[in-house]
Amino acid sequence: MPDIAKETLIKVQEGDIESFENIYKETSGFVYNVAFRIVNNKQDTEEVVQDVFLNIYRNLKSFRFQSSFKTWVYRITVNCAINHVKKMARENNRVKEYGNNLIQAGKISQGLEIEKVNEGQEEIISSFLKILDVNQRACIVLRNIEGLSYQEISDTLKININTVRTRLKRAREKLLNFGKEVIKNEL
Amino acid sequence: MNCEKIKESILTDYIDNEMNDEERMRLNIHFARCRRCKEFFETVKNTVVKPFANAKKIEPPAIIWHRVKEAVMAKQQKKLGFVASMLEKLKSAFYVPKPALAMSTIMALVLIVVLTTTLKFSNKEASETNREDQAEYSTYSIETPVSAFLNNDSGFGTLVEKYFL
Repeated sequence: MPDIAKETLIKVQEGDIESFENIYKETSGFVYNVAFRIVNNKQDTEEVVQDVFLNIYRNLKSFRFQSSFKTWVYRITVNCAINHVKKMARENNRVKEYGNNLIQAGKISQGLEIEKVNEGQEEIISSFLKILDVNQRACIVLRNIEGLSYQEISDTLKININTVRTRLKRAREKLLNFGKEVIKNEL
Repeated sequence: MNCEKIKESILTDYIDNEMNDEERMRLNIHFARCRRCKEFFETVKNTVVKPFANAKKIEPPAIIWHRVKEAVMAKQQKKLGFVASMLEKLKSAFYVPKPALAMSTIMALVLIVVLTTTLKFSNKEASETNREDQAEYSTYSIETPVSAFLNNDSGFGTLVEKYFL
């Protein structure tokens, strides 16, 4: 994500829509992709992205330029996405959905060889993310897809760097076990 | 080095390049001697890290910006509407009547002013008269000695007084 000029941010703070559109153009790509990977559903992602930008517009007045604008936008995005997932989980039957996701993920992954099948890559990523809890998912997305360092993830999520480490470790252990289950089912 | 500790590092700092060169070197030396840890590293790299490396970047649909813009404009309109309604309230608080009623309003205002001033002056006159009476009585009381009341042989010269004395 490129840096946004301070002048542009100040103009938005004063209510300038054109400058806000510039910010949208510069940031909507990664906001959409991060939200999509956490929410794991295109329709809900649109709703989350809309929510993220309204939050940015509303709260930019209180942005004091003490932290990086990029980290601030990442934080809003991850928080909106996590809140949306939690809200959806409350509305649905969580246990039932989790079970269905596992079955669905197993079906998708069966017979697919990660190295060979490029078109199945997106489905594999989607099924992997589905088996993780939302906090682990956010860490995996920021680290493995967005390439943030542990320190950047810690600043974005406002959690201790060791918590970042623990979440990544548990998420990867879960993915490894899931891989073993799939292989067992194939045999 | 403990293989369990090594596996923990493989799952986090080693795979994510969060280690310094010295620690990294130590793990590489261990891999040269421990086939299991080396295999574990290869599995982690291929199974849980590689699949995310080529994640497609999706372009956000244009409709999102239109919705955001609409919502922001609506918010601004609402804010402007609030300011306008406040101005309207202020205007009605300082309402100026139409020319047809202007004369009667002015007359009413003049009447109020005149009545208020007159009442104020009449009250002032009354209080001043009262104050003068009180001052006259006080002067009389101070100038007349008490003995004049107590040892007045002549008295007031009335028949009743003479009868009792």
